[in-house]
Amino acid sequence: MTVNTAVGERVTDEGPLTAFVRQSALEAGRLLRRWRRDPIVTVQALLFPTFLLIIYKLLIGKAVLAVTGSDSLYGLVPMCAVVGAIFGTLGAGLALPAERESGLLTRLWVLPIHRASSLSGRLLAEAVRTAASAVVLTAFGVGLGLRFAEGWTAAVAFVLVPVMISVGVATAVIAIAVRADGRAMVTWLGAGCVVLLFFNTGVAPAEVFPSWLQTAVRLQPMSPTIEAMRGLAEGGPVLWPLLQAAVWAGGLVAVFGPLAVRGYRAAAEAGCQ
Amino acid sequence: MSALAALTLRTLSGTLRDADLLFAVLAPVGCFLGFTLALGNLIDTGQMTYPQYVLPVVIVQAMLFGAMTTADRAARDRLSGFGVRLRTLPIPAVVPLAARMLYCLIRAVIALVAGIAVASVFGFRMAGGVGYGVLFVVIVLAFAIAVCLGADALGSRIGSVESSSQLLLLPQLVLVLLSTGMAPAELFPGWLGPFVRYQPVSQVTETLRALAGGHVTVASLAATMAWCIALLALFGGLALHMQRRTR
Amino acid sequence: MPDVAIECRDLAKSFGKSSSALQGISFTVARASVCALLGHNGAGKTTTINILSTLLRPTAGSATVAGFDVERQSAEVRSSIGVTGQNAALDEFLTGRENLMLFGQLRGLRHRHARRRADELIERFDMGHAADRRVSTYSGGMRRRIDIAVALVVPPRVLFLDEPTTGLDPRSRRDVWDLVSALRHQDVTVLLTTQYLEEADVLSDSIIVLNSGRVVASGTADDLKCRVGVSYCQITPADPMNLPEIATALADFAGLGVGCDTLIDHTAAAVSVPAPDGVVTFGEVFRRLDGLGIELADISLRKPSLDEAFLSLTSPPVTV
Repeated sequence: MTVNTAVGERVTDEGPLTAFVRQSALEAGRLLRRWRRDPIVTVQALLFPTFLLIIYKLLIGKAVLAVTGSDSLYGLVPMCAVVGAIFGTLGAGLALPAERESGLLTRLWVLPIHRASSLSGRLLAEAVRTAASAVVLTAFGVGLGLRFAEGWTAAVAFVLVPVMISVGVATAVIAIAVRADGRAMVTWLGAGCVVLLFFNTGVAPAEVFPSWLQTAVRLQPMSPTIEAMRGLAEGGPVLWPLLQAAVWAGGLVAVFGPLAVRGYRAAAEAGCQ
Repeated sequence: MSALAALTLRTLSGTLRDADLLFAVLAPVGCFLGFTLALGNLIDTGQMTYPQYVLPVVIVQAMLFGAMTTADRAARDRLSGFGVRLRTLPIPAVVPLAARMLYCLIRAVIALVAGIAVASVFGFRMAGGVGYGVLFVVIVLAFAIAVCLGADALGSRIGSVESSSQLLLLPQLVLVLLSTGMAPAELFPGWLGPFVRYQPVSQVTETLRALAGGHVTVASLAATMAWCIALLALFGGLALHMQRRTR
Repeated sequence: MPDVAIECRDLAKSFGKSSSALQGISFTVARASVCALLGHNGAGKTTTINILSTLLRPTAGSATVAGFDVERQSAEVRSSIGVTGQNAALDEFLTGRENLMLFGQLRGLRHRHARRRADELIERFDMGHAADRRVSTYSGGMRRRIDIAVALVVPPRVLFLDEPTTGLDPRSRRDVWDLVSALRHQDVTVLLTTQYLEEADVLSDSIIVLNSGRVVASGTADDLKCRVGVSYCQITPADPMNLPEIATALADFAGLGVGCDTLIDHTAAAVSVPAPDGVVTFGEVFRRLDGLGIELADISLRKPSLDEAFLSLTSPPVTV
């Protein structure tokens, strides 16, 4: 039996840009399919933030209303969306060491594809997953009482804001996960992110924290993202926090981007010994 | 006896590699700081300061975390080549389980000490005297062993290392955060009241808080002891059952 | 594509200052042939394959694959090759079919054609019953089959197989051998590494023996065997008590000054006689034995084994 195929079936007539986009989309599709089947990612990106939302609402809903006068949902839904983004990325990052060891990264590296498409596809997948889980969380939030005072366009922007920080965090996670000690490092990073989970302005306004902590709480990457989303839902400043969040995301990409590229290449070259 | 010691040491050195004991210290410290600093000014606990109020649930949370890593370890022991080999050795099937529980005990003590230490910095005091202190420790450790046994049974059964600890994460979240360990029952919505008041984590933290304060009612002490003994018996039986060699 | 599928000229690679994996190797592989790289672990086989598949850059020397230079035309090289490694490099969470389609599309096939191709390969590799299960549930043999299928999803000009049958049961190994042999007729050149001398012997048109980063021998299996020794005739009597009698009858084959006892191999319970003239010697031996009237269990003309060739050509691996 032959193993040949007719030459004409190949897509030989596409420009390099089209090829790059198509290859990125293929990699993104593979990852999204994989994540749907991976229990760690499903729990961390979707179930955990949903549970957190409901539970926190029950725990501090009354208290926040008493202290701030507004519904806690306007802080909790953004916080849980960002939590889903960050922890989903961490869960996905845990899979990278296995891909490195099995030689999958190597095999993808020696295909006739644009070498950047592996990374861009991965970031695209992260963005799509973040947006999807944000939509689910927002739906839950609306069910619990969240209302968009600024209209539909604000609602769409609401679910897209966490994508920005997710891309930044994903770059950092990739850079760390492709290392030889990736698994351990990602676990440590996860522990660090749990700290972020507590100390942000989604749970409680910054004034509630002790004074020596307030600046840190205001500046950590989750808080401006949350504030921007809060502004989009409730009304309030949007541009300034959005800018801060963009600076964080851009900074992470700028610092970890080259490391991710170099590390990915090293992982591909190492995975075949 | 030496088999038990050998296996315990092996568990210990294995966990040194993945810094489990370090996490055992960091988790209660981190949780305590997180709860106190973020929620402390938000939740009204009446006469008591929030650190004094919240420490018991932080300890309970730390024990539950320990249980999660136990599930991992049990799954690994069951599935890995090492575990298969263990089952062909002429040692009683209970020995590997006992080794894991011994490690759990060590880990629980370390977490307890770390939790109390950090809380003391923020003003927590054990006002009850030695007797109450001893009871406090006994209940914490009994609870820790009970949940570890349960997690061990789960890990041995489930058969996939990642899934077992993930599965435990969500119920733990519910039990810890929706309990009177975090906030007085009045703060929760009315319909949730019964669940919050009577679930086991609430019972245990109420008793622990009372012991730390130096005055405990016999009723709540009895209820907590009953819970611990019941869980120990149930989970202990399940865990032992899971260690059977033949299926 | 030129008639030479792979060419290496003084290829060298060192990692860091102290260790050099390859110290200047040169060889060629003809188009539509199967070539085996033999060598101990650490001899440089995997490094050679890595350089030829553009994964690593050589420290010195040059190489071309399918007529393209591996350094300056690496994109074209990647379009012409298929690679399988020692572990099956697949996405464990996807099914076999999804893996095939993914790699087909990444290689440039349209979705429709990728699906059709995946169906073809699944049928050819007899994986219909497992194609829609996750790869993580596959046995070793199935995993290897999908691995090779993925490398063939768009037929490459040159196929690199790194230890393709390690760990497979005899039937699966046979399947892989059949597949590799058939590829020759489809104008695919195969370069495989192996530790199984039998595999190299059976499959390959040419063999290259590597030792400590150098080529120590190259040629066909027969060439190598002849380099090491000469054919011999082995006679196994039904009754080992007859061995001395046979040895005496064939004493003159042993050579001048050599006692006929040296012809006797006690462990094999046989007499081995050098047969420099091949079949002619064999005929002579047979005639003499016929005259003796001794009952024989076996009589054969043997070439020296590739084992002997390999062992004599290579030094034992350095134990660290």
